[in-house]
Amino acid sequence: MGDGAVMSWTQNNVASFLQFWPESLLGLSSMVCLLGSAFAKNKKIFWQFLCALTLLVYGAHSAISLVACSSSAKVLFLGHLRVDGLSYLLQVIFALISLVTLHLSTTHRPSSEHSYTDELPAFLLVLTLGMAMMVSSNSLLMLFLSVEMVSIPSYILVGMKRSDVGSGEAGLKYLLFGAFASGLMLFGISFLFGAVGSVDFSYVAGFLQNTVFDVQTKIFLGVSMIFLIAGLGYKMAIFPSHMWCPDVYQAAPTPITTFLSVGPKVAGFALLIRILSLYVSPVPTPWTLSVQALLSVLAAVTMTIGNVGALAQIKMKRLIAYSSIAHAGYILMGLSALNLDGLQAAVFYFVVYFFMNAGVFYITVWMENHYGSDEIHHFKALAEHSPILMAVMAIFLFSLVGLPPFAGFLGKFYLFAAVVREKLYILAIIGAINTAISLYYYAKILKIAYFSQTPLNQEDQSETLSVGKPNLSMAVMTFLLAFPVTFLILKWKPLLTVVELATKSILF
Amino acid sequence: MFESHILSWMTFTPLIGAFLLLLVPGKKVQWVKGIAAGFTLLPLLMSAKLFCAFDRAQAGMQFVERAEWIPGFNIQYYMGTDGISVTMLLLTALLSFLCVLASWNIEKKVKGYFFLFLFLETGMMGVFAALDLFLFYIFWEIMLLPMYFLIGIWGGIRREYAAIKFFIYTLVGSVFMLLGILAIYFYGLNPHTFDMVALAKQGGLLGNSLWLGLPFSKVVFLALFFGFAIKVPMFPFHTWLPDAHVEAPTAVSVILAGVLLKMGVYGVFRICYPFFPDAAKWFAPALAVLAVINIIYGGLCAMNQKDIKKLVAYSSVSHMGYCLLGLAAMTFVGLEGSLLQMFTHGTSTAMLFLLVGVIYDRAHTRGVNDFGGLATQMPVYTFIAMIAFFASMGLPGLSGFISEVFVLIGSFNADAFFLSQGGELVFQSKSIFMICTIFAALGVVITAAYLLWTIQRVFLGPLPEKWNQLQDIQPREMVTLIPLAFLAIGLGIYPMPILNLLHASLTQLTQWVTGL
Repeated sequence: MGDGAVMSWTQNNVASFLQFWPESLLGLSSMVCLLGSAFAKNKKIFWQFLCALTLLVYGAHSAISLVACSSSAKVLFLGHLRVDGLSYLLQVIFALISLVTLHLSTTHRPSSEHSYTDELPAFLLVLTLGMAMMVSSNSLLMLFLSVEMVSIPSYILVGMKRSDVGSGEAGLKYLLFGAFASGLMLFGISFLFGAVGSVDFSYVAGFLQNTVFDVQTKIFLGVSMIFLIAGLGYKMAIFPSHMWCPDVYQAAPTPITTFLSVGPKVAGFALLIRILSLYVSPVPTPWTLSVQALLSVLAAVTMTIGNVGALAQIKMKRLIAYSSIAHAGYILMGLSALNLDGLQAAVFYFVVYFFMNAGVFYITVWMENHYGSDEIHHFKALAEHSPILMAVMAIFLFSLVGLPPFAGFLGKFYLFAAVVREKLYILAIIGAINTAISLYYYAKILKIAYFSQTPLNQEDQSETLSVGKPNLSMAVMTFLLAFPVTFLILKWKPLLTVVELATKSILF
Repeated sequence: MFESHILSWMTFTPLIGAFLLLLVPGKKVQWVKGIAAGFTLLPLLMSAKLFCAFDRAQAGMQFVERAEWIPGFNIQYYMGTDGISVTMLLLTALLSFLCVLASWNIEKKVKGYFFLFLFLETGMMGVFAALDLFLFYIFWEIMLLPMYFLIGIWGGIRREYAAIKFFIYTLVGSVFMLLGILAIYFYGLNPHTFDMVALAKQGGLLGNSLWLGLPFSKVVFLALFFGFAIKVPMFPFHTWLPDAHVEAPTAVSVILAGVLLKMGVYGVFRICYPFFPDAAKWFAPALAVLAVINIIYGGLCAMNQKDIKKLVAYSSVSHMGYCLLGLAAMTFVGLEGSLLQMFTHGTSTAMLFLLVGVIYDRAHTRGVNDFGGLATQMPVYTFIAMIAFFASMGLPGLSGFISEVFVLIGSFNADAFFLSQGGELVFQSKSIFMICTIFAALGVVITAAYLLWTIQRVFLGPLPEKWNQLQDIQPREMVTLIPLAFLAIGLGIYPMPILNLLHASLTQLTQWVTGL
């Protein structure tokens, strides 16, 4: 390597670092939180505040960058990161879900004595950084590193209720599944590297544009694609890597579950979008059809498993775990259209899904705080004691079903539209039937809350675990989340514009 | 401002009332009821205005409102009414107001009840006024939410089961409808549009394209029809109806039978037929057979019921069969009969459900065999009940007669024919419809049988000891029933006020559908 090359290498990295300041801020702030909370344990509120402030700054920066962003993407660190509209939009979602998680953790009253919240601010910042890098990865190396950067803190967070055996078990389960998935992904990456000879996405994309491959390359590419999707599928919780989901969601502290159900899932999908755009862009490649078939089958199976699994659940977090598998299936259905409509529908759904799911979790945490567990029969007590909150819950649940006039309907409408446009009618029909199935378990919650004639049982009668102050902030947050879910139908053009901005630099 | 936006006002006035209700403290029950009554009376007054201002000579859409909503997907806020929907708007406004009066004695969670009820009225009005498929679908689905709660919270003993069954059944239908709507959007017209008027004008959508070897237009037709057939409800998708109608509180049963069932038929009139006339012709013989099954099977089921409310519910299945038969005939008279039947059945079945509610409030039982000799104990009640029963039976001089005769005449003269893909006549037969009409006419006898038998068991004979204390009908209940009774008699003698409304639009529709 000559002197000039070294210079440009250094220059590039230095220049990249200057543009990378928001992410650096996340990392720095996380260090401060981690060290600080170790030495000044009783200043918890301060570290939480620092974390929230950092996330707010980061989210605001991403939002501004999104609105101001030009069509060209920012390529950093010698092509390892490529920051574009999609990155910015999802970074906003990640900042928001981290904020929500932080807020929930401060209001959540876990049944066990040990508080898991000490290290949470630091981990949340690392996770946000990891997810931000996931959605901007532009090389196979960065892909793997960023996925691990999200995975490892997640394992810790899930197992954080140290006194709870279930939590430890779930953490271990998550770790083992995660390690296996990482292995698969690494395997896929090495095959892809073997075939292409470069880790750079743009190089890979160019290579895949070839129309003629020898047999060995074909096998390599096919294997790599399957393994990459299988590895990523773990993050998105799609079939066949969805099995960890119910147990982990159930055993993790509820705020962490909130985070897992939105953050890593959306990040996984974003990475899938990046990988898919290699295979299908910009003109249909020989791969398009087989990728479409693979994704369609996965989507159909995933949503069916999720919805059927949810039918019999009596615990809210487990139910949401299955429902989030089903929603991954719907998003995958939209993506399997492999057209711009499907991509935009999926991104639109990310945003809507964040609001619906976070809202549901707010009320679940509220219920846990007041009645001690997340079993769905408590909703009856909730409907009795806080009828307005239960009505808001009904809005979130109907939105999850995809009923108008709520935002979930718009999300589903676009997903179905993309699929019908691509003439994947069978997939659309499976999706439609799944929607009807899902109605049963969401409506079951409302049935328990409103229709059942049995009187409240003793423990639910008084709000024994009732807490005072955090209630107000939780209620405010719940309404803030419910507002867009309810009124998006009146004017969703702005969101559509944002989604178009976010997707325009992706070749799909 | 008001005149040109009358449909929006009619649709959203109840919604304004609903949100106003939220501001009223739940304990002030009288205020709540007053607001609910006021905000359903206003649409009724507007509908009177609509009735007067409606131009009977014009076939196209009137009182049109149009605004861009989401330009990217070409979604519009597009409202309007023509002869096919205007009668349904009138019926909805009337029944909603009467049902609020009929719900006066609701005691449980009054505020929630009327909030949902007003919400429901907005959905119903919207379905009949919407002319954009997207908007139509939203209103169509919006109705499900209040309905689910109205049945589930204020219903009878098996309300949980009935509510979820209704909800899931209808949702299955409507998700397929959504897929059909999307297919129409993407493959119907270029540029893509949800505009129902433009799509209807075009007709014969989707051409001869195939899907998995099947003609695509017929597949989409069936997807939409499936959604509508569940609502009608057409055999074999009718099983939600007896449960929902029986468990629902009186006023909600009235709305279900009086308005919601009509939406299924209305959807076929507005969407299936004009969009896919060829598929409609191809499907007509099968529809006729299913319609006759509805008539006969519904009638026989009704005859076997011990519960008066269930009997009335099954009689709705039977009567909606006439609407379907008129549709299947695809002749002007048949379609006219079908539309008229929608209106007359809406009034007569509403009366029947209200009457059942009146007796149930007093006796707390609905068993047909529990009663007897009510004619002596409750003479006024019996008098009104007779009007309702005979109107429902189709006695000449009452409203049910005219619509049923129109349907039968229309279908007797109808043709069944199949066209090949190229448009050549493959098969033609008049006898299919003749046979169907004969069986349908037989259905009239079955209707008479179960209704007369019910009259005999409930109103005639000796009065059981325990009913000596029963009060006769109260003024409030009279108020809900008398307008409907007047309609039943008035339209039986002179149906032209309704028929005049239909005429121009129906002539145009018949031309589109039959291509003549």
